Amino acid sequence: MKSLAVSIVAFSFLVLAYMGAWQGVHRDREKILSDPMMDYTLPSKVTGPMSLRFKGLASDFLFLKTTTFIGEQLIRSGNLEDAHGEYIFESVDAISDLDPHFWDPYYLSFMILSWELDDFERARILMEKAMAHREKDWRPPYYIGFGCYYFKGDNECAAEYMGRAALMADAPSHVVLLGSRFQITARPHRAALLFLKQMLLDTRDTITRMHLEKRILVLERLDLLEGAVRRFHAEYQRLPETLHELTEKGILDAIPEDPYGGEFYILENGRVFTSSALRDGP
Amino acid sequence: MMQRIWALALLTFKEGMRDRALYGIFLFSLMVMALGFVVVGFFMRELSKVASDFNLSALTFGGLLLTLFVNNQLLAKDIDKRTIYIVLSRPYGRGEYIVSKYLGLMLLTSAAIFMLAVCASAGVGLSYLRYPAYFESFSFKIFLLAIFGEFLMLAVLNAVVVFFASFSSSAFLTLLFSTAVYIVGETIETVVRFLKTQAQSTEVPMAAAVEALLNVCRYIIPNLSVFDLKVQAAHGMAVSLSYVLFITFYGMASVLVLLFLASQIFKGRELG
Repeated sequence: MKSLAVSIVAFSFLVLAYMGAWQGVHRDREKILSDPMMDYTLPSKVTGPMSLRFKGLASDFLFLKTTTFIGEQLIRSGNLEDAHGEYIFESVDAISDLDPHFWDPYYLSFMILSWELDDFERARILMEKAMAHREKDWRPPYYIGFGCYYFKGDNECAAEYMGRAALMADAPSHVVLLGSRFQITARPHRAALLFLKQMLLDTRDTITRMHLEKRILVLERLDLLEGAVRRFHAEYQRLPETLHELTEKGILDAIPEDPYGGEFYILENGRVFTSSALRDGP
Repeated sequence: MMQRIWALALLTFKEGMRDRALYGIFLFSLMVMALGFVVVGFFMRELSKVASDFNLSALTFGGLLLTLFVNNQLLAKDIDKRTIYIVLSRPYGRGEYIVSKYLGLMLLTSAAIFMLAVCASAGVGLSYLRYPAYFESFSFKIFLLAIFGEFLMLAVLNAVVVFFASFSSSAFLTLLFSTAVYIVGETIETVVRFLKTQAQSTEVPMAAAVEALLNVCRYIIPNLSVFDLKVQAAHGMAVSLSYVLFITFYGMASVLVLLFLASQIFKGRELG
């Protein structure tokens, strides 16, 4: 009886010690994890041979690690910095070396590098890699084509890549339409809307969807304002000096708000942009 | 002779089925497959790839544990417990003993792979039922072909284990040698490709000794990565019939060479 009581007391003491240690370790671990240090991705020359027969699984794990890291950064500060872009580029490069056919990492890197970090060039390098390995997929040339048009203003490049995308057997009909529209349209916001809506269809990730929906909302508002400017021009044979003139003349009831916290403004050529550049403020 | 071989193979299989480690491996693989079902939901679009990766990797890992630990122990047990004398005192040749043991191990591996394949298919099936829209590119035929590829790899690895067991004095040494061959067999292709690319890009020719060593490794150690069709299964990419036939032939030839060498070595081995 006495030995049982001693055992119970000893076990209770050990459990308490374990719980104390657990709390201490995890409290300090939280501090390490919340430190905005940059994560490190082992190059594929190391991860490739190391993952032996499990390269697919290793690519899944690395991708999950990368998305978690980006998600945490976005939740914490709402913005990504250039160093994050470096990390994403290297991670996706390593992941795509492990499994070059894995589409999700290419998609994520394009979205983050080009839209969040204004680095279409590096996004394009990874998309070209996707194109080389996913020869029958219409999406890589479609994304490059769109990027050429929207981020670089290079219609020739856009038409070339959209043309390649349109040639793929499973390319949706709007790809062909979008390709031709790039040649003639003066409404890039509308083209971007079509593109982002396609991206929204392509993802289930909650954080990504949240960002896309917000961006789509701003582009819809930009497109609405440009449409109103065109109506103003048709009616008064001149461009409005400020957007408020649109409400004063009754063309719009009110100027919508930018969910990113910026202000919409009109350029001399009638194009409408926002001071937020579609990014959350500091 | 065939009857004798079959009888001993069956005995080895039954002995293996009694090993509790087998159930542990099976449970572990099931847990990985269940984890895969949960993790699939964390991904964006290619859920069929992730489901396929998880389930096939769990199957492979289970098969590797079985071959390197359970099957290795089964071979060593005969010598440790001296049951080999009972077998060899009957009209069994040493070559027959090696072939019977290998067939017994393969029966055990086949049964385990069959059970794991049923679980892996169920795991992918469950993910499909939950996210049917993300399984457009998935092909069950290629998934089964990838399982066949893993089976071929395990057949070769079992022959490697039998080969080392034919002359090593302990199960630990057999495990060590077999694991080394497995790692080299999986990485040799990548290493050769990397070194050749480096040599081409730097315009510094590869040292003759390194090249000779690599070539020796390439021809002597079975290239196990050729049996890996998991990427094809993950993306529903077609595999040509000629490739499937070639890897089957390559696997069978490797097994026969290893068993022949094991028989010859075992014939000259002093037991006791």
